[in-house]
Amino acid sequence: MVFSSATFLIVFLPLTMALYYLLGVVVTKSMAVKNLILLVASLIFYAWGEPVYIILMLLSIFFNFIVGKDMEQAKKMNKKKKARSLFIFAIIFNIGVLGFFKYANLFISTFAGITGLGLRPLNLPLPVGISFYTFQIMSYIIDLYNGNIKAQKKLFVFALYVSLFPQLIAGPIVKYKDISDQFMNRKENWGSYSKGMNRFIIGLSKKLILANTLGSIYASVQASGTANMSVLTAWIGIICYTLQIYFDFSGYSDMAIGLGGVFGFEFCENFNYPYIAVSITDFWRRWHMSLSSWFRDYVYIPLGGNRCKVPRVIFNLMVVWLLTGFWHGAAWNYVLWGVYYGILLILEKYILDNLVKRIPKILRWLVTMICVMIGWVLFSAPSIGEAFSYIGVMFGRSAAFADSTGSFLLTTNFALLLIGLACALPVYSFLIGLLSPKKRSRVILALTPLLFVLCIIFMISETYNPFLYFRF
Amino acid sequence: MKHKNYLIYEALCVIALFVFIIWICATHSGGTDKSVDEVAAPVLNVLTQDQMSKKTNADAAKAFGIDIDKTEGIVYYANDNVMDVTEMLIVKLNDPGDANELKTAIQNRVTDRENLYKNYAPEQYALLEDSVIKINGNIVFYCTAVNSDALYEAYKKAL
Amino acid sequence: MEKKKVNSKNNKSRKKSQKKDYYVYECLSALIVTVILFAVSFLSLIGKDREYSENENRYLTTKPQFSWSSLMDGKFMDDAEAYLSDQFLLRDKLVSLRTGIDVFFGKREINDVYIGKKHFLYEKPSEYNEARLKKTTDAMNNIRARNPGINTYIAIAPNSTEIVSAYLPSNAPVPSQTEQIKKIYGSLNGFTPIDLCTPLKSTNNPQDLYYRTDHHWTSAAVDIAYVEIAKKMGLDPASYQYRNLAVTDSFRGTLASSSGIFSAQDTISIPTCPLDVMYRVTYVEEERVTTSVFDPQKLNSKSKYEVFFGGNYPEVVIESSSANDKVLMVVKDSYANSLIPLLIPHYKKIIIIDPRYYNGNIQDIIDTESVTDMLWLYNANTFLNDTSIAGKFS
Repeated sequence: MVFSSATFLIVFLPLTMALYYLLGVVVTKSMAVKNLILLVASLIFYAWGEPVYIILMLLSIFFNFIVGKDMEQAKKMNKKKKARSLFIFAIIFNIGVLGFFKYANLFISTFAGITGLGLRPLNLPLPVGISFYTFQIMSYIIDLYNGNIKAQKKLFVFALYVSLFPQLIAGPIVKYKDISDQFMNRKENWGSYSKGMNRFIIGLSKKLILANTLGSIYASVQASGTANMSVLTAWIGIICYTLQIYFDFSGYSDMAIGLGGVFGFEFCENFNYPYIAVSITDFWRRWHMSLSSWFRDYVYIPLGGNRCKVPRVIFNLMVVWLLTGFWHGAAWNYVLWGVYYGILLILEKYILDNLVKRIPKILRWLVTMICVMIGWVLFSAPSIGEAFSYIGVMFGRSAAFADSTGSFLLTTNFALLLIGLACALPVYSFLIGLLSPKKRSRVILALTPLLFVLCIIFMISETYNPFLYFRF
Repeated sequence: MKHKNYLIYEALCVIALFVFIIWICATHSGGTDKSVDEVAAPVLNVLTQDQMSKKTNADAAKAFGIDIDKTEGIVYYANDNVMDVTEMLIVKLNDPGDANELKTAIQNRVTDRENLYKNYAPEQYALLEDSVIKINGNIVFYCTAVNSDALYEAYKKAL
Repeated sequence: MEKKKVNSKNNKSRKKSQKKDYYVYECLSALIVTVILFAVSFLSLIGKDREYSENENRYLTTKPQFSWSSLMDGKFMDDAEAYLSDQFLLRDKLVSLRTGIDVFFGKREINDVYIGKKHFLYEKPSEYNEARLKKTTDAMNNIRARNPGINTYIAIAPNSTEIVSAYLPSNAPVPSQTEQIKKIYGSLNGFTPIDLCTPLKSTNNPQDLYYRTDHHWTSAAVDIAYVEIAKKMGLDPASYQYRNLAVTDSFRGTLASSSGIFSAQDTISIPTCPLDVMYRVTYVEEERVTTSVFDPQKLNSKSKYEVFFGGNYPEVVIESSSANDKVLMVVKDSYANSLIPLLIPHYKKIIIIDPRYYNGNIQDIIDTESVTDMLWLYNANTFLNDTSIAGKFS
């Protein structure tokens, strides 16, 4: 199920909220009942989209819960070797499951392509959200092994951590250590509820009003092929995609954080205006922060991080960015995309560092944005070859700088692009800051309900509505 | 604290995982050893309510662009009335690797016909929209029919 | 000092009250959203289901049937989602609101329809695909070569984007169909080309030649095309004196449906029948015979253009009491439906083939009916997209 679907908004959300607040908060006032309602709702939420793969998720939950308990017991009894082998066992299990269901096809077809063997791909559909929940589980296992946390004693609480529906299928990737307290001690109140509800609507609007509309423009540009594309069209296309992927993904995070608030949870933030970044390093501090911090805590730092000799640091960075690229999807262009960022970051760190500081900020921002957009071409193209020919068109390998297709796209979507830019850059917060506080509060009163009604209009008038970051 | 042995649970999980993987691979890529006529027989029992008649392999090749050399058997039924879009196709392939290609070809035909009937015959368009196209390993099943669900059920049982 | 303290205290309390104020409004707006959420949910669940949508011209999804197998393969969930959004409260209103919003913010292309000025809607021009066209023209040349004795004519009508350019949205990318049609004519061997672009372009009121809400041409355009075609085919247009009579003024065509913009209505006119000629129309596949090429019942339906012939049929035969003994075969799309009535008095028999729906062998018909003339009549957009000529006649 996706948040921007009629099933979720008309049936699932109202029903879950009503049950949670009536049974859990008003009648029984019991944390266990509230958690149980959320767990059942989350499992239905997942099963609705993946009626078969829910078995896999439940298996993963059960296995890691048991291993967690076993590992803690071994540590208490000072059996370091046993704890270590259990830890390795669990990591192999989790990476194995992720690897098999997500990457087996890619490896089989690549291997068959290289060797010419007639292997046939498995054609297994990818379990939705497997990359997200596997990473959450691994944060639990790694922190437990390192002694940062205690093992969860209750199976159903652990199951709730893994399957909690607001962040189950598209993040943020919430680490167990950050949220473990909230399962037994959280207080639903008007403050977190209304903040959450407003946040949810903001996210829903980003997805339904902005991302989907911008996405359709890029889709039409991409479908027209690079053969007759003008430079202008290519740039409009990739700007639309750049905005779309931000609104899509950050919108989903907003919805997750908002829904968390509705049920009394507080999740970590995932985006912080990534498109005002003035360097690639800065960009990755602002984009999908929960993923970057996961890789930092569980891969980069254990490898030695910055505190090694330069070649080793470069190696560490490349490993992290190769994995980051791979995490985003089972196709070689994602790997290329990851490597691209790895190289850019290394360049920035060791070579351009001094140079960059002397360049005016606005220019740095522009260069960063162009690098990011080139990255998105690699990310979104159906194949590496097509990505390169698209980049070629962007930088002038085209018959025309501008044609009527391009200027028609520009003039008819000008307002949308402006609104998109205003929302992706902190223009809205700037404008609202100009208002008196009293007016500011009036704005929010009018804005959120209006946005919600708009969302309903956009959702119903849309027929096709897949979430981009889904098949991760 | 009492020492608990969790090994048995862990082992069970791993076994369950392997069983799950084998099962899901079997359901997703497992074809059948039965001949295409054996698979089609129970489906045809359900089909008789429609006025479709048997077509030759050449008809199927023409309609869908199937390369007959790549197939082990074809069962193709279509309506004789040109204003009726109902049809049913079951193909057994020599190489399951060709299944996706065939699926795309069928999908193209359905889309073509949808465009044709869209502003013209809404009932037919609705039928096309409800078309079922499924791959089961080396067998590809497609139908556009009033009772497409029932046909698909019968086909699934026949596998 | 004292004063300052008081001031800062005031400031603090003011800030606090502002914060509280904001909090109250945030809660209020969350409350409104919650009320909308539950109201929408409640109303959708008690609402009555619609079976058919006029605007969308399709059957809406009805309550999904539950079964274990449909649950396991996800079909039930897909159906449920389609059901909920199809049966959503005020669905049509919401869709038209959406279109309104889109147009307000400058969008001028919705679902392959250009939104022009003065309520004029345009079908987005088809792509010129060399490979696809080659297959079509090869098939046509083939038929031509096999029947050297038949006078063969080709007439491809331009679309509204070519003729009514004044109302196009600014910057709309439109290829020159005049050029494209010329190129197509150039690749056909032994066809007598009939240029419809020049006469249609040279009228004073090009906006009357196409419906504003539909992709077809109007009777005004047909009048001009008829004269041109008659001239080329050696017919005497003056021998058939007819008038156009308006039969409906509330036509909302396919372009209105696809774009969701229902702001304008069009008038459909039909020509008066020839006075001295009787005729009979046979729908071959349907085994139906009528005495009129018009189907007035269609005027009560949504697709009012189908008043001509009742729509597109695979094979229609018109036999007339015309003194002429020529037999004409028309291979056509729906643009021809409004023109063919004018050809009736000129031929003993007209055989109309629509390759998109026709599955037989036209060579058999050509031979058995001893066809003397053959007219390929299409509009550019359909012809450029067509795959059925190549698919069925090669």
